[in-house]
This record gives sequence, C-alpha cells and structure tokens, in this order.
Amino acid sequence: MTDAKRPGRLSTLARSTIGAKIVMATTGVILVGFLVVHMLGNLQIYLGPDTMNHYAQTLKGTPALLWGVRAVLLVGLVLHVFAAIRLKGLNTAARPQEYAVPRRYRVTSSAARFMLLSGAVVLAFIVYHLLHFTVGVTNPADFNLHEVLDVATQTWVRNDNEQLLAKLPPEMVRHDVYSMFVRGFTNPLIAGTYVVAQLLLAMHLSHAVASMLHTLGLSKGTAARERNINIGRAIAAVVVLGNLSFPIAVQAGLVHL
Amino acid sequence: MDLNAKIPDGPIEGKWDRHRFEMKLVNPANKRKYNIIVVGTGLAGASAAASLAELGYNVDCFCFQDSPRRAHSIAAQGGINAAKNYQNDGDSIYRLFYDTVKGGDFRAREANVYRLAQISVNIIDQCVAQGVPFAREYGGLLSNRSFGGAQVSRTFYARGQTGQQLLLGAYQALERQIGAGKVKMYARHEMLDLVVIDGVARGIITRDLVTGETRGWVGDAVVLATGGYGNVFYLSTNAKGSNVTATYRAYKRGAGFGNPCFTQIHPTCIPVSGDYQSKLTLMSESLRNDGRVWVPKQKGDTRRPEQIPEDERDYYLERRYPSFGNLVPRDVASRAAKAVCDEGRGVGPSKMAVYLDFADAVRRLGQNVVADRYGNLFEMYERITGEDPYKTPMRIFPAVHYTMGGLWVDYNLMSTVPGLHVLGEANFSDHGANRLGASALMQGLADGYFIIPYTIGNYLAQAKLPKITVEHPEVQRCLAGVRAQTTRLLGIKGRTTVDEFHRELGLVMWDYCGMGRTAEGLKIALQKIPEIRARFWSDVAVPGANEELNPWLEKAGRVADFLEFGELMCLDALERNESCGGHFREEYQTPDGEALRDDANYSYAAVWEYTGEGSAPRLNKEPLEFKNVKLATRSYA
Amino acid sequence: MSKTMTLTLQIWRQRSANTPGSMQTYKLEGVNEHMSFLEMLDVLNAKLTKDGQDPVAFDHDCREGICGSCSMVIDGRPHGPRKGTTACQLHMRTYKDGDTITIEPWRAKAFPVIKDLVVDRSSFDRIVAAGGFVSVNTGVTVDANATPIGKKNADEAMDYAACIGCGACVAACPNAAAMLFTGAKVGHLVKLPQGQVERRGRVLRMVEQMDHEGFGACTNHRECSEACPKEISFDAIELLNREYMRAQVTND
Ligand SMILES: Cc1cc2nc3c(=O)[nH]c(=O)nc-3n(C[C@H](O)[C@H](O)[C@H](O)COP(=O)(O)OP(=O)(O)OC[C@H]3O[C@@H](n4cnc5c(N)ncnc54)[C@H](O)[C@@H]3O)c2cc1C
Ligand code: HEM
Ligand code: SF4
Ligand code: FES
Repeated sequence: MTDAKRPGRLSTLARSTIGAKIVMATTGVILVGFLVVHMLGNLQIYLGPDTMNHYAQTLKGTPALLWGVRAVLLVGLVLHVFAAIRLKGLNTAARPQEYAVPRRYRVTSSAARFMLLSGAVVLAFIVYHLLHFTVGVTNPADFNLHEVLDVATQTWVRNDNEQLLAKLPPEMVRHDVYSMFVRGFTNPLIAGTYVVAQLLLAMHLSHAVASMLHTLGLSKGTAARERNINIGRAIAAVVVLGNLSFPIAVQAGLVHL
Repeated sequence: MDLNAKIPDGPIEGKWDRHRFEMKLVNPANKRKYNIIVVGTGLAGASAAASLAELGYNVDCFCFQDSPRRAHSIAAQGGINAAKNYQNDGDSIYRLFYDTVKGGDFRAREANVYRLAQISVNIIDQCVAQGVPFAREYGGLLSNRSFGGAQVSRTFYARGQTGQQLLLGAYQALERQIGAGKVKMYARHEMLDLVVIDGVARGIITRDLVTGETRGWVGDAVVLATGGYGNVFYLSTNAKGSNVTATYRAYKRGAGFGNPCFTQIHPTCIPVSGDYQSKLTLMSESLRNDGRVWVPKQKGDTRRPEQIPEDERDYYLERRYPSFGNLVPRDVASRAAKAVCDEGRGVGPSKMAVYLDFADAVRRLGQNVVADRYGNLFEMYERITGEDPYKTPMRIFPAVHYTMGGLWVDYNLMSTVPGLHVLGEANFSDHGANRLGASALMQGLADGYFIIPYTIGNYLAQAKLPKITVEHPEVQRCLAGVRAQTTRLLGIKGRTTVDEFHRELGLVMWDYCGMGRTAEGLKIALQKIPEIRARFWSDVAVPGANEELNPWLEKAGRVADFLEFGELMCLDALERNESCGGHFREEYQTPDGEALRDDANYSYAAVWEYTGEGSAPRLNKEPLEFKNVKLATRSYA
Repeated sequence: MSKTMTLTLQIWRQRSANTPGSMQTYKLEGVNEHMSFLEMLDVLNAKLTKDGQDPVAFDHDCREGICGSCSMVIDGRPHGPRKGTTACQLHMRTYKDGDTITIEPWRAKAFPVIKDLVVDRSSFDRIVAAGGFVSVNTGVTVDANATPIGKKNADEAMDYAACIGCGACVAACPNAAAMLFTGAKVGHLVKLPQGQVERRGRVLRMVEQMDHEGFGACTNHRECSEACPKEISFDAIELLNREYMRAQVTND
C-alpha cells in the first residue's frame, strides 16, 4: 500500500458487517451440524427402548465429549444470536425510512425476510426443549424415569423406586429416555408445540443453509448457487421431517410404551 | 488577439521531445504551493486532475453531476485509437497522424496531431496499468478492431463500453487522490463564470446545485475540460447536461472560440420518434461493418422492408463509394443519408430514416455470430424501438454527436487568456473539421494524462501570480453578475418552458446549421435566433427558487448561453465559404455532391473574439500550414 | 399510429432533505407508447410548470443506461419492471392505458434524499476512494502487452467493471446493503494481475468504508443482482466475502 493506512486484522473483523456475517455462518455450520447429528441420533427411537436408552447412556458415559459439545454449542448459539441481533440492528438502521409503497421482491423468500422471527421462536423452543428433556423441570413426572440392570438376565428393566436407585452403583442405572420421549409426546399440547417449532425451524433452515454457503463464498456461479439453494432446502427438509416424525409417530401410536 | 500557437521548432517527430526538454519545471517541493482549478471530470478533466495531484499540485475539481464518474465520457461505446501496431498491419505513429489530419479535412494543426499520435501509445499502457479491462485475444494479448473508415486495426475497446471503462480508470485515479487529500472534489457544482484578473485567469464562480450557494474560487491556473456543445441542437447523442456554459462564459471573458461551426453528425443513430423526444441514441458505428445501408429506389414507397425486392432497393453507399462501401467516414455517410431522405426516399413513420439491414450478415455468418458481435446493440435497439433487428432492418438516421470546435488553444493547451487551459472536447482540438471514430477518447486522455501535467508546470514556473483571495473585487464583481442572472431568470415567470425554447433553437440549428448549410439559410437562422432569445428573456418559465436543487434553473442558464452561442456558430458557418469535413456548405460541392474545400482562402482556424454585448464578434485567423501531409482532396470512392 | 394512454402517477414529493415528504397523485394524459419513462416525466413536468406547480426533480444525464444517474423505484422495483434496464431505458409501451404507477426515490441511510426523487450517492464515491483503484501514477512505461491476461479473467473483470454505480442494488436490498456494488469493484480489480499487489488492503479498506457509510449487511436475499440494470452477478458478493476472509488470514 502506497498512500493509505494499513488496516488491522481482528479489530476490523469484529467491527465489520462481513465479520458479523462470517460469525453467523460459522456458528451456523456448527448448529446445523449438530441438528443433523441430533436428528439422526434420535431416529434410534424406532429401534426400540433398549437401543435408544443405550445410546443415551453412552452419551452420558463420555462426559468430556458431552460437555465439550455442549460448550461449543452454547458458545455457538450465543454468538449466533448476538450476531443476529447486531445485524438486524445494522440493517434496520440502514433504512431509517421505509418505502411508502410495498416493494415487489423478485427472488427472496419469506423465510429469508423473517429470519429473526423464526430464529427467536427456535430460541424459545430450544430453551423449552432443554427444560423439558435435558433438565426436566417442565414435566418432572415424565423425566424421572429409570431402568435398572437385571444382573441375572443382563436386561434393563424399568424401576421407579427412588430409594433403590439411589443405592445402586451408577453403571447399573440408566435414564429411560425412551419412555420419557413417548410419554412426553403423548400429550397433544406438547406434541403440537414441537410440531410448530419444527415448522419454524424448517423455515429458518430453508434460507439458512444456502445463505451460509453463500456467505462462506462457496457458491461460485449461478448454477452452483442454485444447487446450494436446493441443498439447503434438502438439509432443512431432512432434519425437520426427521424431527417431526417423532411427535407424530407417538401421536399415531406407532411408537408406544 | 494573439494567436501564436507556440509550436516548437524542428522536425515534427522531435517537436514534443524537444519542447518537454525546453519547458521550465516547477521544483517538486514548490508544487504543493500551487492551487489548480479543474472544471470537468470526463476523460480529460479526471485524468488531468489526478495526474496533477500525483505531481503534488493542490487541485479543486468540479463537475455538475452527482459524481465525477458520471461525466458524459462514460457513454462512449466504440473504442480508442492508438498507434501500437500490435496487429502488424502497417500502422505507425505517422499513419495515425496522417489519417487524423486527412480525416479532419486539413483543418487541424499538424504539430498537435503528431503529438497526439505519439502519445496515443502511452495512453494504452497507462490504462492497462490502471486495470482497464480492454478486450483480449485467447493468447492474453490486447485485441483491436478497425473503426470508422480506418484501414488498419488500431482501435482498442472494452466491449461496447470503452468510454465507461476508460473513465472509470481515470475516476479511480481521481478518487485515489481525493482519498489522499490532494484533490478536493466538488460534485453538483456548476461553473458559471471565469474570473480574469489583470488579464490572467485566476478563478471561477460556481453555483452549488444542492444549496444554490454561489461562490468564488481562486487558484493559480484554471483548466476547463467541460466537454462539447452538441446540445445546442437540443437533440443530440450528448448527455442531457452537456453544455456550452463554461466555455462560452470563458469566451465572454476573452478566450477566443475556435471553429464553432465544426460539428460532427453521426450516421447511425436511432431516429426521432416524436416531439417528446429528449435525446438521441447512438448505435455503434461498428454495425456498419456487417450491416448494409439502403432505401427503396422508388420515392414514397410505403411497403414494409421485407416486401421490397432486392432489385428495388438502393444500397446507395455501396453504389456511390464502391471501395469503402458502408464504411465511408461519418460525414460522408451522414450526408448521403440526408440526401436520399431529401429526395423523398426516407423510410419509417417520419420518413427521416434509412435501413441498416443485417439479413445478409445473418445469412452469411449465421444468427449466432451476428448475435455474438452485436447482440447487446440489437437488444438496446429493441429496448428503445420495440422492434427486433434480427427480423426487420434497423432504422437509422444521422444525429449530432460531437463538436470539433471549442476554445482555441496553443500547443501548450492554453487559451488566449493566460492561465486558462482547455482540454478534451472543450478545446478546438486536433480533429480539424471532422473527427475520426475512436479519436476523441484518445485526445481527452492525451490532454489530461500526458500534456497538461508538463505544460502547466511550464506556465506556473514563469507566471508572476500575486496572491489573491476570493475577496478580490473582480471575484466579487463576477459573483454579483452571476447572482443577477439567476435572479433575472427566476423573476421572469413566463409561460414557456425552458425545453420549449431549447427545442425551438435546436430545430433552427438543425435546419440551417446542421448537415447541409447555405448562406441563405444561415442568414435566416441569424435572424431567428435573436428573436427566440428575446422571447426567452421575456417569457421563460423557471419554477422554484435559487436556494434549492433546481434543475430548471440550471437548464435555463445553459439554454440562455446556447441561445447566444448558436448565433456564433451560424456566423462562423456563414463566414466559411467552403465545405470541409463536417461543415458542408451546399454551395460548395463537386458535381457528384462531395465537399469542396477552398485551401487557398480557408486554410485557417477561425477564432472568434467577444467584443461586448450587442457588438459583433471579431474574427481572427490562425493560418494552418501543412508541411508533412500533402493537401489532397479526400476521396473514398 | 402509436398508441397513447392516460396514467395515474403517484410520486414521492419532498422539498428538501429536512422536510418530510409524501406521495402525491397526478393524472397524465396523452402518454405515447414510444416515450421513455423519463420523457413521460418530462411531459408531466412541462405540465406542472405551466400550471404553476413545482415540477418533479429527478437525476438523469445520459438517458442511455450508462451514466447511472437515473434512480427511482417504480412500482416497488428499482428502475422498474424490466430486467437489465435502467429507468431511462424503460419505455412506456411496457404500460397500458389506465395504469397507476408509483415512483419513489432510493431509500437508504447512506443515500439521503435531497429533493423528490434525487438522492445523495456520494457514499459510493467514498467507497471507491478508500481503495477501489490501482495505485499507479501517470507515466508508467510498461508496455500494455507486457503482461498477457487470459481472456477468461479479462472477461470476468469486465463483467464486474460494467457496474454503473447507480445504487439500485442498495435500493432493492431489504437491508440496504452495498455489497454488490463494493464486490463488483473488488471483483473487477482482483481478476487482473494489476490488482494483485493491493489485493488485501483494498478489500479491507473498502469494506470498512462501506460499513462506515451506514449501509446494511447482506443476508443473501439476492434481490440486488436481480434489480441490477447491468446484471452484475451475485458472485460479486460471494467473491467479496471470500476476499475479505482471505484478507484476514494473509499478508500483503
Ligand atoms: C454516444 C457517444 C459515443 C461516443 N463514442 C466515442 C468513441 O467510441 N470513441 C471516441 O473516441 N469518442 C467517442 N465519443 C466522443 C467522446 O465520448 C467525447 O468527445 C469525450 O468523452 C469528451 O470528453 P471530455 O472529457 O472532453 O468531456 P466530458 O466527458 O463531456 O466531460 C465534461 C465534464 O465537464 C463537466 N462540466 C461541463 N460543464 C460544466 C460546468 N458548467 N460546470 C462544471 N462542470 C461542468 C461535466 O460535469 C463533466 O464532468 C462519443 C460520444 C458520444 C456522445
Ligand atoms: C438450531 C438452531 C439454529 C440453527 C441451526 C441456525 C442456523 C442458521 C444458519 C446456518 C444461518 C445462516 C448464516 C448465514 O447467513 O451465513 C442462520 C441465520 C440466522 N439465524 Fe440462525 N440458527 C439457529 C438458531 C437461531 C436463533 C436462536 C436465532 C435468534 C434468535 C437465529 C437467528 C438467525 C438470524 C437472524 C439469521 C439471519 C442472518 C442471515 O440471514 O444471514 N438463529 N441461522
Ligand atoms: S451493482 Fe448494479 S445495481 Fe449496484 S450500483 Fe452497480 S450497476 Fe447499479
Ligand atoms: S440517465 Fe444515465 S443511466 Fe439513466
């Protein structure tokens, strides 16, 4: 550079709009990646209680991994929300006076225009979902279900005797996630809440995944862009259809206790 | 009026080198003590402002658009000439020089033209270094095409947007200097007067087009690069804002106006479609490479073009000029079109158009090749006319395009007012009586990048310039004059719009001082123009106020100047009793209708001197000598 | 014979930057189908002038789609309904008798309204001044053909360089972002060998200036490239993102 100042590195990144976009996109990669894995993991519900509960037990059995992932997700989510709010603020400020006549858009979607709204619903849902299934404060009766290893038959059997559970060594007790899951979704109100939240998640993702690929500069050329838009919609569809299947399957009686 | 052109001695090839050596230099440390006013940000102005700032001068730069990037140069399509001889087809500096002098019908100054041809090669180097994306061949080297009657391929181009790309290069260089604080840019400012103190150009008066504030600026030299005055005809291919105001007001302050009647009419424009027409659109000349121009043989033939059989068509250019055919120079092609329309053989609803037909080209090359070459032009035509040129021939008609006349300058680009330098289309230029295609861009950039940075130093190093401020009484006097005119315009509150007056003037100019001129017609025009002007000053409707953005006030000021300037053009055309280049006096033609020059009596540049309100301007002459190119009759037969 | 029509025009009228504006309705008769959109406004303005009313101010100059002056949102779309067409190149044959047409200025914080349909776009100039150039002084002596440039790169550079700086991309963007414009300039220069030396600093400084001007951030709606009269590809924005990320991890 001959006659202008040399700009710094991270400071510019942190301040810039593109920096915020990059934060959105990289945290988006993490969150979407988690959603895919999370949905695939939950598909094991269809393989019966034993598989499902074994899976949950395995996760709990590797606390380093579990908490590591949770930490990354938490940081990712916080940054994502933070950047989203910041971008929204910038973008609203960038047009202090709206058009008097409604605009006619050519290609954008409602999904793209209402990202913060869908995001906010998803955030509320995440909080609820964690309280419901991870912390267990919303429906403690559904949450406090356990299985105990029957040493003779080497099978796991349901046992709700709290005194017994407290005495047994940890490797002989596991959380009955399967039952929690089924009992949770048997309540039509809860099932309905999940369905609605998933529909908004679908909306979020249908723009989000392609948007993320564009932001990361991975859609060179119109054809690649069209392809990425379709990939984005496909990922959104797969994740959400998978997730939607759970409450529906329970309500339909396909998965039961 | 002192018309010493200050042409350096010696053989023509060495003049510029020698002059560069002999010119005085300004010490690098002193350059920042000088303040230069540059008006205009077209190719000439932007390149000058940027180059001067790079050298260290402080520059105040002005344009009337909202951004320097929007200067009229942006619209040039076809290309820029340079004697690079990259195609190995026999081009050379000498050939470009020769072609330009001949193309200008021997009414340009040899030494300037030679220097232009020399510098042309540096321009391309400079532009490429700036990142101008010229067209390239698959091997990665620059591509060229032949243009407007040249028999070598020396035209560099960037699709159909050469002017845009060259201007963006200059604009970016300018913005770099603005960012560095060396140039202060004042967009949406219009120059309304030149300040001359003790015979030396020392400043300008501008109106801030947003706030209406009029103020004075002073500097050590003034550079005008304000473009051409084709809009005196109302309809032209020029941008709507192009005007004569800056140069005309400088003329009124003592700068000689050279060859005002030399205007160029471009043969391939989209014809007028109605009274509401506000401007004319050029279709690139390159279309004539493959399109064939014709009209019906029979007068008043109203059949659709497809229904007219081959043997009832007159391919008049091919018939009259067998060796150049459809590629004859602009003035020749334009006049031929006018001639057939005057015979009553014009086509289209107005009967003022000829066909440009691509049917043969499509047959010969296939639609794909034609689309590849001219697709964007065809699209543009379709957008404007609603007709598809692949199916039906285009209709074209000549339109005013460029003005070769302008403020007279010497070899150093200085006008008759010391300190006032004039660049680009605004000066009376190197194109004589007719400009070759792709040579205006070349001249604008040569002036701005490579000539003025040297010659202005020479001027400043020798000039004795007392310190002055905007409080100087002369600045204040000019300021008062400008304000008075604004007040007067706003006070008339008449019933006729500015455009109506402009259109009326344009028609008079087109009818009597357009493609064909006669002494008789010019005399009529000389009566009509003052009459329109008088009505203008008593009946013009200028809405709004001064202290706001007021496009009508701006326009009114420009039209007021056109109304005076038109008269000067007609006077010049009347005085020049010969036909040369774009100036065609119907009394002076060969039996077969070609221009008839009179070298014995008119081998000079006509330089008009303002002598005051209501008094006839005085004609001065700069004799032109041709030592290197033999005077010959142009022949394209 | 060409057709004529009667139109109802709803136009944003605002006397100056500091006065509030509003939509006003005008009836215009005798509009010829071959008129350009701006010629239609000329006719309206002549009528308003004669009626002693204030005519509508709008920016224009070349009237052939290249200077980038004209700037109006017509029926909710910058430059109107026709793809790849500036307002000055739009012709009235696009409309039919009895139509109502709404006309508004560009709206963005970085493009404040000056009057009626005229806005201040000097923010674009400042983005260019921040780095949209190659730092070469006049007088280079390297021959133009010394560095061959592959046709593909040269063509791509030209695609980006075709931007006319009109601002329709900003006007169209739900976020009033200027990334298509900025990306087009970065793209033009990065495709050429001449643009390599300042590659890193250029993008950082231009983006910094862009943000400073108060433009929004792209959220990939892709409305900009659809509205762009020069059909600058959305690739410009992806390229800008890539160049920006690259600049964060490389040195000059
Ligand atoms: C449609 C078209 C196509 C063309 N194609 C070609 C081509 O292919 N090749 C070629 O060589 N030539 C071509 N030309 C001619 C060429 O474009 C012009 O001659 C040339 O660009 C003029 O450049 P300039 O710098 O002298 O002036 P301009 O580009 O006209 O710039 C004038 C500048 O002065 C400013 N200005 C004017 N008046 C005032 C004032 N009163 N106060 C303040 N500022 C003022 C304006 O704002 C502007 O910045 C074409 C012309 C037209 C109309
Ligand atoms: C499971 C949870 C979530 C996932 C998987 C997810 C994913 C994504 C992705 C991939 C993007 C695209 C980023 C880009 O454009 O580069 C995005 C954008 C966005 N997200 Fe989320 N998100 C989630 C939750 C949230 C939450 C909780 C909020 C806010 C409250 C939110 C608000 C937004 C907003 C406003 C955008 C728009 C930015 C843009 O369009 O570029 N998201 N999201
Ligand atoms: S990118 Fe397109 S819409 Fe944006 S300023 Fe350039 S030409 Fe106009
Ligand atoms: S007026 Fe120049 S682009 Fe529309």
